[in-house]
Amino acid sequence: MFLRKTSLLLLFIITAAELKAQSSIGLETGLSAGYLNTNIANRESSEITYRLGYSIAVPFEYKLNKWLSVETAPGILQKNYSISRTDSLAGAYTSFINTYLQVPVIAKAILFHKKKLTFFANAGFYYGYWLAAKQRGNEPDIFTATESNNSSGQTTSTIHYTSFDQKYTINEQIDNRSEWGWIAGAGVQKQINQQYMMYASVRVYEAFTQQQKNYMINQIPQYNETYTLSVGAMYLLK
Amino acid sequence: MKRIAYFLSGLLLTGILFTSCHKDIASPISNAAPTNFNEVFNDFWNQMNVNYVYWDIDSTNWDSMYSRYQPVFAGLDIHNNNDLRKSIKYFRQMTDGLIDSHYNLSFFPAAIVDSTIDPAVDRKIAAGTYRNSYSFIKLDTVHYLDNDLVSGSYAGIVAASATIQHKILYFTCSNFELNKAYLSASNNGVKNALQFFFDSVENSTTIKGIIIDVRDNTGGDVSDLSFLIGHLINNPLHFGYTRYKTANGKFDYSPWINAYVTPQPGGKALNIPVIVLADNFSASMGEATAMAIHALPTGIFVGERTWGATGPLADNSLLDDGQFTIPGFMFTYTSSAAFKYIDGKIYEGKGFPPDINVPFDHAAVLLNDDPQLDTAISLIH
Repeated sequence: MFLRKTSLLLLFIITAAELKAQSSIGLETGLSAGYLNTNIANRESSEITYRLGYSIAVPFEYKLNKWLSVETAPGILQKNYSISRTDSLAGAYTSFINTYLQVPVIAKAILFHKKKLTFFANAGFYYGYWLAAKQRGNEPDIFTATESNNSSGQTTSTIHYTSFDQKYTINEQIDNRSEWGWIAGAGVQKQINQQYMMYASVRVYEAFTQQQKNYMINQIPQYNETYTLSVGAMYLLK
Repeated sequence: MKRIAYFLSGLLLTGILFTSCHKDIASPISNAAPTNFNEVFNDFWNQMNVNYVYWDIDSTNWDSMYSRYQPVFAGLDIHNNNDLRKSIKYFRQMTDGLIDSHYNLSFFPAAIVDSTIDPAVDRKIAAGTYRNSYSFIKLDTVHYLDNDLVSGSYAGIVAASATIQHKILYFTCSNFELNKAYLSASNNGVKNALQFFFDSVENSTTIKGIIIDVRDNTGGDVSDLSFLIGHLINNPLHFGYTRYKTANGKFDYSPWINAYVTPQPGGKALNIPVIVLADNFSASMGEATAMAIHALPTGIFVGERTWGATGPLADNSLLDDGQFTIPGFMFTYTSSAAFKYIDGKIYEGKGFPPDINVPFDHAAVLLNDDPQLDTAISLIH
């Protein structure tokens, strides 16, 4: 399935590349901030928090007309998030570092021009393939718990946190490596000269497939949600 | 063309509105008191998914328990005492294969308040491997320990420390509540026994070996591990790994996290044998003590395979898993973390094996002999 989709995309890129006069290719990189959409309200003093990652992609844009173009940007996108403890356990957390190969197909519309800047918006769909994962964090080591009396004679408990940074082996029985979702974003671009253009954009990637397979009854869904802030440069092919 | 641009702008705005709100995902976990058996079953079944830490290695198919027992519980009347008693049978059937050897169900309704379900005990009885427990404190106190014995009790816990043959330092306790006893304002016997033990570890020049006896010790406060064994080390002792639940999925686990014993003030590395005595009834903190001592450079474990309840326990709020309550109906006692020993093996449900196996010998005990302690003494020259 993944190979078929990738092949179709490459075919699209090659076909579009033949229309050099209307096409651009470039490089973009930036920061990502992931979040896991699920429900952990029952878990005491725990919350899901955003965690930063990176994105890097090779955008290819085919201009349909003055206002509208289609774009793809195969690349690597991290969809990281953390589950953090609060209150007396603040400082304890587990971060999930999830690296995806992602292929979006986006429609880009020029909105308006102002002072040599061009403002645009885009929207589309993406396919992501979960390449690798790590778990990093700092969690209480229950066996280090000790009690002591403070100067006023009150007994206090202390517990040491243990840091970890480990590869997570994606479990094919549980983890859903393939992800489909949709994208919305906006940005600004500046034409440097006839061939080069720079841009900055923000995007939201919202999965509509779950991060886990349906492996149990009453499973609580988990969906990736990722925001990116990217800068890039495009080269007009001709 | 502008129409297209406006159309896409509209699409974009719709997208942003759609995506910028986190999805509204319902939780199956309820903290409300159930009003019927359908709610009891669903609360229990869902809480087990969320809080039980051994799903990945447990042979119990929890989903099939749902399919099989959900209709059965739905047919019971929570206000009927006969149905309440029937539910005990069904809970027992659902949980009898769970490997967590801490696992225990107790109930609140008057008709079943005396009922309890303990799958590990049931399994051991069925396998014919269960014997009555035996406390060695009296026998050893009278027949083995020197007259420098310091012993006493605190909150139902008995502890004793003394030398054996004036060259071996011995400590035993019936359960673990040592740290609290030591910090207590009262001049209790457990504190005195601990002080004798700690002072001897720190200052004695004649001690040739140490014996810590956790036979028939079913556990207690996890903070006692570092408190007691932390006096025998001067650097953190890595003796295993713990793993918790991170979210509500059955298989949402943290990675295996290093588990350490923390050195205590006055603790020092020892180059003399440190022998732990444990038996079939050494459970939980009793087993953790045996495993931690076994991980010492000079540690030796003598006795029998332990109970097999190796996962530590804490309030659910500490690690967001483990024991939980169905309000007004039942309490589930279960490990808060899975534990894997430093050798990479999980001994939950199996028990930790001794270096030197010396089975309980009832006939010898009747003759005031303690073969397990005899073996430990023989290892110290």
